[in-house]
Amino acid sequence: MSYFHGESPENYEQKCLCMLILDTSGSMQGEPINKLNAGLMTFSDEVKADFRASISLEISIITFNSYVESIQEPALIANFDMPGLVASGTTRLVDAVRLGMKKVEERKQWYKDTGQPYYRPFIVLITDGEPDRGQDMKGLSREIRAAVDAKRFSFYALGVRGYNHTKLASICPPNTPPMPLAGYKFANFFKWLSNSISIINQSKEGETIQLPPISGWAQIEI
Amino acid sequence: MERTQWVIAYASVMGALHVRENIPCQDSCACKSFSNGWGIAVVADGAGSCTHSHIGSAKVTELAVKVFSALMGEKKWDRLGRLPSEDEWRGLAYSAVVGIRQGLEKFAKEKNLALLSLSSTLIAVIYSPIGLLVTHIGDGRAGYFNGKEWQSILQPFNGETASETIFLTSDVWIGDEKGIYIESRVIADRVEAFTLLSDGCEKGAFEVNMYDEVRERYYDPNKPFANFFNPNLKGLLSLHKEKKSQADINKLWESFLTAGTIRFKHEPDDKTMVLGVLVP
Repeated sequence: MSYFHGESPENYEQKCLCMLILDTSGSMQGEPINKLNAGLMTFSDEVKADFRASISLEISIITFNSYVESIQEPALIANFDMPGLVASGTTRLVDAVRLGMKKVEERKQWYKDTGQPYYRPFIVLITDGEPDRGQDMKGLSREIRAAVDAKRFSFYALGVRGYNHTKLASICPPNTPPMPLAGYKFANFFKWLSNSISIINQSKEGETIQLPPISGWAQIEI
Repeated sequence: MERTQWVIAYASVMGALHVRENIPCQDSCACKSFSNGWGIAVVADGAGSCTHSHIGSAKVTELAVKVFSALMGEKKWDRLGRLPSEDEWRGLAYSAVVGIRQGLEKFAKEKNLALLSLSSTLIAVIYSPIGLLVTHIGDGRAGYFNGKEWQSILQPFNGETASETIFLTSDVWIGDEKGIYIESRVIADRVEAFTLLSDGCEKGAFEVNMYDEVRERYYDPNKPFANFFNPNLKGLLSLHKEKKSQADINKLWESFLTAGTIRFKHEPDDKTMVLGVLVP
């Protein structure tokens, strides 16, 4: 006999936004973009398999090469198919990150306007190269660091083989320097990302968090 | 004749993420009865992935029972059959929370642990057939049933984002005798049942994030969900009728909190709930 049972109320889940900003420049052609596409499918599978993430994690995707394009507006995983990416062109990294930051603030405002509680959003930048000449890296660095200090979002950067670590580190907050990807282990990275988001969202603001080990996908020495 | 016997189930269980990541359960709870149907129930939720927050929440629970038991010994509300006024309770609850914090500081020093590593929230409810005395810091939920409907008895503290709250170890509430950070209330009403829970249980038992189609907004009704609680009150009374021990009742409750509903089964956070019902 089951003494304890009962209905659950139909609560909506608190939202968490993950903004992926992905380099699709010419240098990503071939194995890198193929592995990135496979990694995105892994991310999709991981999120779908996690009951809580599947109803709370909103994913948005911006790609950048010679053009910057928002190819996926914030949506729960069940509401879109992960896009397949194609690589060509140059690297308008700064414009892409600025668009990502703007879209994060817009989504947060929508959460506030509609009374939805939300977790601090994540921005994840993945790039293998140098930004186009003339791109305002110093300005972007100031903007990202000020926003992170003000807890407007968390910022992570993944450097793919061949990336310029010094340049990428210049825009990253000191506490989250660029993470160099070992080979093209995107799938392992996205599994780690999905897991880390769950852990971070269970912690409270201001706590020291222990994320899962990165050895499964990160290159330890630069 | 006044009814004074309660049946109470209380348990803390690991959330799905904690099981997966091998993190200990950071929630704690305790209950203790006084006389004439009075007693105390306490829930504490340790802060996230901090190494010692499971120790912190357990110590906060132990200290809360000790401090409020001493207060009951002094005030004898159970023997007098009366509740304090709101003002009196607010002042006494503040002093009690200060006492609990001091106890935690002493413990931290003795064990050579950083105080902040023991961070925990606290909900304490002195229950009786004639009303409830509530005090809390941080998040979590609590409510009671007066024979007609379920109502909440505290407002969880949340910041701008869903993961912001305050802890017993936060300095922000020191001096907060007016009750901005420490909410203390006297519920002078018939109490047939009561509940306290950590935030890991709230989505499975309270209405906390609903959509208003007219205003096109989400909102927090902060309402105990009757269709969750009422069947479980019946379950508790059945267990009492069958003369099950407290240990047996709590074991069944643990199983229920672990995976008794889809929500509970998939909840990543630790789950704690105290549920008590007055025997007819």
